[in-house]
Amino acid sequence: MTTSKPVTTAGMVLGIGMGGFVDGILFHQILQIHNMLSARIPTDVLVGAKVNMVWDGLFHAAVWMTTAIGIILLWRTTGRADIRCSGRAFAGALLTGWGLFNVVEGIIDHHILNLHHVYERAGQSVWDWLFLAFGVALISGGWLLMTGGAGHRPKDEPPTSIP
Amino acid sequence: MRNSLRIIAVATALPSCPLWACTLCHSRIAEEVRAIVLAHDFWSNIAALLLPFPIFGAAILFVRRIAP
Repeated sequence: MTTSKPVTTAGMVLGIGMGGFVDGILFHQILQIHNMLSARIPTDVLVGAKVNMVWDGLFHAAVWMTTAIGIILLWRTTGRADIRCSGRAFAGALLTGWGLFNVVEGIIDHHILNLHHVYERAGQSVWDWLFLAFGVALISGGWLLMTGGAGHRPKDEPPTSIP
Repeated sequence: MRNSLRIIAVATALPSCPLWACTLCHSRIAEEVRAIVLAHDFWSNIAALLLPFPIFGAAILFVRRIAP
């Protein structure tokens, strides 16, 4: 009896970590449309920008830890003979994890705690809802891949066991 | 001799870079930043920052349970 659950679990954890990095690197650093506490501490003065930089760093540290946990979980699957390695299921798990990040972080940080908003200049806006919608789409697509791929194995591919 | 020169080079280079850009080091701006980061709301901000993570864990466990 083989299972892909340990692989998909690791994939979801990695997806959450990488989704966090997409948010942090793309939105906080490259586009700079929001920062971790930008709804509370304005970023248009040097001190405010640097304070937000500290909190962005703490956020990145947390998603780095999440990614490291995902790598450890994935590594632990490599010696097991009962693991079914499916690229589709793993890709689906990554997307599901990314979507979970968007939905959970979006609801808590953007809508409940109001730590920041996707496009800070607009405050709470349609961009926050698009962020959530994108998360739901990622979860849906990821789920389809993960569940369709969990039992999928090409005819000529033997069950995978990495020595 | 070569190692001594390296040590002297490092020792003389360090005092000349007081890290004025460092957020939590010295300078007036750094002191302001440190005061704001470590203000009374520090722990509530940490809690807010970390709040999603246990929920991520619960969500993963839930998805793992319902996934085929």
